[in-house]
Amino acid sequence: MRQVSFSYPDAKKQALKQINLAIEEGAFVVVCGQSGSGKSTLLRLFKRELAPYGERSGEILYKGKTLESLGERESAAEIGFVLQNPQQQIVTDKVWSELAFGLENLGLEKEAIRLRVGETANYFGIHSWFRKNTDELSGGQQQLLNLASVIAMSPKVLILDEPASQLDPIAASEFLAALKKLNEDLGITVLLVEHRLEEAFSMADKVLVLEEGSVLKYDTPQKVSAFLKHHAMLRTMPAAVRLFHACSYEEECPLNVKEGRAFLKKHFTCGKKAEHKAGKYKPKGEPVFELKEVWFRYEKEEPDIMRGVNLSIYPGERFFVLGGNGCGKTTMLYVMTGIYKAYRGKIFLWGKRIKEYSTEQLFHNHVAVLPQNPQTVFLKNTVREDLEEICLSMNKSREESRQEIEQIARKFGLTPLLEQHPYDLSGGEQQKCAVAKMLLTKPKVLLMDEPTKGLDGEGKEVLAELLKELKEDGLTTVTVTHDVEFAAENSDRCGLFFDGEMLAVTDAMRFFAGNHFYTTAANRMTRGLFEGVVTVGQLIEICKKNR
Amino acid sequence: MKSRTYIRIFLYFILIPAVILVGIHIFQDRKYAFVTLAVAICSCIPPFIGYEKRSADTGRIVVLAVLTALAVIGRAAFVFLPGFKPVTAIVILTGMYLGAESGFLCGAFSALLSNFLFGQGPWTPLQMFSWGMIGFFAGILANCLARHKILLLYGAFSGILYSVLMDVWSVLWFEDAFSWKRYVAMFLVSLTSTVMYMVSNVVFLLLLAKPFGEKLSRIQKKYHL
Amino acid sequence: MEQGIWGRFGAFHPVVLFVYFASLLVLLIFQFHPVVALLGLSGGLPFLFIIKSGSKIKKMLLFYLLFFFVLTVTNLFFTHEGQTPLFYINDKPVTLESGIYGAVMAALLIAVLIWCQCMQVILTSDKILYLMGKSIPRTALVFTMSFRFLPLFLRQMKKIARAQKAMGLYAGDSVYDKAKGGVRILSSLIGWSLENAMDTACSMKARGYGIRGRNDFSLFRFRKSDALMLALILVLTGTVFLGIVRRDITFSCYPAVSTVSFTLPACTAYAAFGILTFLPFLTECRERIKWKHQKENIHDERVGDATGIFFLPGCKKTGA
Repeated sequence: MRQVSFSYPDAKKQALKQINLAIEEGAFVVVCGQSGSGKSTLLRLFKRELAPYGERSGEILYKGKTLESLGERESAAEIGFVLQNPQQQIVTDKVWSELAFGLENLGLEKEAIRLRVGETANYFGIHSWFRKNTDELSGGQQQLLNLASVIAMSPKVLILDEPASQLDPIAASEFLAALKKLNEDLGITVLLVEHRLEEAFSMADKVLVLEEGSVLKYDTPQKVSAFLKHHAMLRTMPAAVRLFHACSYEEECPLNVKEGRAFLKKHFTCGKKAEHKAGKYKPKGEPVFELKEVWFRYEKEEPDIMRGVNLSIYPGERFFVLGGNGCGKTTMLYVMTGIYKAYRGKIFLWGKRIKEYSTEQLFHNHVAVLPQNPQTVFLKNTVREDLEEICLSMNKSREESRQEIEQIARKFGLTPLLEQHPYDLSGGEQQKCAVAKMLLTKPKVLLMDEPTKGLDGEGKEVLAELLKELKEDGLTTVTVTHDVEFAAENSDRCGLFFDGEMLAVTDAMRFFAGNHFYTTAANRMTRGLFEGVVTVGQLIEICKKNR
Repeated sequence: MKSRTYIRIFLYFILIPAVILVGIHIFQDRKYAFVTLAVAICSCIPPFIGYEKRSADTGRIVVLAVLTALAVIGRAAFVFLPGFKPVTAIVILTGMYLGAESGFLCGAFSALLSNFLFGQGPWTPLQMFSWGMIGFFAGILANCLARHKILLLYGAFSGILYSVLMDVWSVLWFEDAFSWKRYVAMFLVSLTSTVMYMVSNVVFLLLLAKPFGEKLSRIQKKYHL
Repeated sequence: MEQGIWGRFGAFHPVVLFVYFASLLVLLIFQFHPVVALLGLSGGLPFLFIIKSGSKIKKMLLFYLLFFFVLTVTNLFFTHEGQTPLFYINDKPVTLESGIYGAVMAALLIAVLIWCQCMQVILTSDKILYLMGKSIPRTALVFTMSFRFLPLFLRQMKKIARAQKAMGLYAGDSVYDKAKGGVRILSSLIGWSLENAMDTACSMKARGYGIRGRNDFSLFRFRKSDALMLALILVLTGTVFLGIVRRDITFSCYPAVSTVSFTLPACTAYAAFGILTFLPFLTECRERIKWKHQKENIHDERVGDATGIFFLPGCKKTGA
């Protein structure tokens, strides 16, 4: 890539500025940068078919030829591209026809397609669901299928734009492992944008850091992490890197849990127990929500999703429900609010049965639910119209609602976004607007379903800030998530939802310190070395004390 | 390319009339039923082939598929109100914005697809034909329909058209001759649903036309379709 | 859509299945004849019994009986043609002929409905697509994609409904609230699906959609058994058509009910049609018998193995 600059139509700033870049064959390159740094734009420029509209200068060379001079067949087959959203990339209704889709486009012979599809399915272990409908697959399987159907065309370069951000942690690591395997087995060059750096970082041969459309650093992970010592992006780096920088030693920087443990053993006297204030959190007052022996199933013939759940949530706390994918966490949220009706057991809100509230009463001034996908909340053409709608439904006058919107927009920093279309916002911004919309119903309890899904490090920080503010305002929040790191940093109490029951409901520090697998990287790194370390902050603190 | 034109001429002017004539000869007592069904099926061929020949951009193909699926889903979204369905409205809007052939495809496919959920039968080709034609003419009349009142009128009219086509066909089917008496009876029996079709078409066009247009033109602008 | 690839008959090549159902339905729809109706019903019902669950069929049969009755009776009052008046209402004759016409027509219609149900189970969407994809690939792709979007949108619709309800907007139980809520959900769904559809378009373009010379791929293979089956179907259908064209089998009700002819050519045509309608059922039966046989064989082999061990040198002592 030589001297490439790019700007979108109607945009004042250039999206990419004077980028010079050479990527060797067979390299595994992780691209990172804060949102709006031009990651996606850069990736899309590499793929001619998806190049965004706008003005480009400079030239992009592939194997010494400009991208434009490549034949359309060559360009389609040799440069593979996987996008973020698993379900939207699937074109056909059957797994096998999806695998064949690209090969059909290339016009291969029928028998050749048959063989290639078979080979690919075997390599990815897809053969057991080869004849299934694409819609029956889990998100992880769908994304693997997307990858496989690109690989079936035998690309030389694979470009992936946040492919694991919509997946749960387990599926995400499986996906990244599959990528690494492809890179090592087949020598495919991989270009990956990912904000789950904890894992991706140590896989990479090279890391490319973008900032405001220019290359900040392009080097090996060790050197990049050394370089980022005083940069804001340090906060999104793996726990081991952050620890390293906090303690300043002159050696190779540890990148993952394994290297982090070695680093700890070498430099610190271990065996101490961490002290933390947060561990002393005690719930106060009468419970807001109370679930007593709640049972739920969707249909009479289907299995139970909740089996006698008991749970109390106290005013002003940040409660987190953790659990694997598809275990019924989301269902629980909607059962709690009475949208799904429990068939046995009682649910109380402020001591009154949830059944006794009318829908209108319940969702105005009492409870609000933030759904997993903030896009389900929006209807109108601008954020303002969407917010206005809620205010009007609360029987406010136009003038009142205008003021209220201004107020909440200022609080959330949404004022510049008010006139935009909800779908034009980034994931984090959409999330904020959705929360704002919910808060306009003046709830006392806010239930959130996977709010960190698809957010980058920055977005998560904003969300964490928000949770703190809401707590200060006296709101009770119940968050359902599988993001362990986020829960560890931001919760007062946690519970694990498994097999239809709530297990181990306790304060956050005890919860994560006690778990073996379902816990943070910092905790895994210190297991057996220091006791009771959960967050990176605690880790750094304890290390400084025990040199 | 040339041989293709010949094939089309052969198809439209020789094969289709031949099938109909032979059919009438073979099934003498059921010739009306045969002709209606044959016409319904054969009239799907030109728009299908026409769409095939169009050099449509990938984005437009996806949008058409999305709208077709939406039309079918619309039938499921209002299960609690029988007869009150947005299918026709969506088909009309699709025809208007994406052109006649796309309108036909949307109509015909939403009939075929939704019958996978609600049950296929000998009525499927007729439904495909009626909805397809409603979408097709919406595409041809797109300029007139840009005026709101005419659009609503067209919606009401297509409600009647759909109902009349179905009734006429039922009569021809059963009797293999057109009997006014049976038709009037059919008409009276289906009067409530006819009215429901008209009302729902008008209502849905009223409610959906604006957001639909806005949303479509938004993505057209955003993605340069 | 209840079973993906159903049994032996469903495993035939789509072309074979298409030709089968097309010719059968054409004959059932356009050949007005009591024997055709009877054979159509008696061949279709047992097959439907194999491929669909029992409880559904009971309800359906009841509905069909009612349907038969209603059609027959209404025809009595609508058509007054025919020579044999049974009784008079308002000076208009209610004739035997119109009753028979109604009954035969209703039976034919029910036969068509039953076969349509069978077709829906056997000729699944992927097979229809295969048939379309051969001749009109782009149009077929629109169809495939809509098919793929359906469950996706349905799920999204449920999510939107849930989210909107949780905001307390139009969440009441009145028809107005429900309708208004429905329109809101639909409108939101339109926005969501259009915005996200562009991802699909990108993924298609990225995999080279739009390059000239696209080739169509499917898992279906045309085997020898398919050829044989196709030939059989064509011969049977041809025989019936011959009977129709030669007017060996004709039937009319007005002015008088004609007799059902049982001449040799007529019987040949009936027989051909009978075999045609029973073809799926017989195929299935044959397959089941074969399987049962095979199972017994497997069972025998296992017993054989066991006894084999018994006579192994080392075991001889215990054996003896």
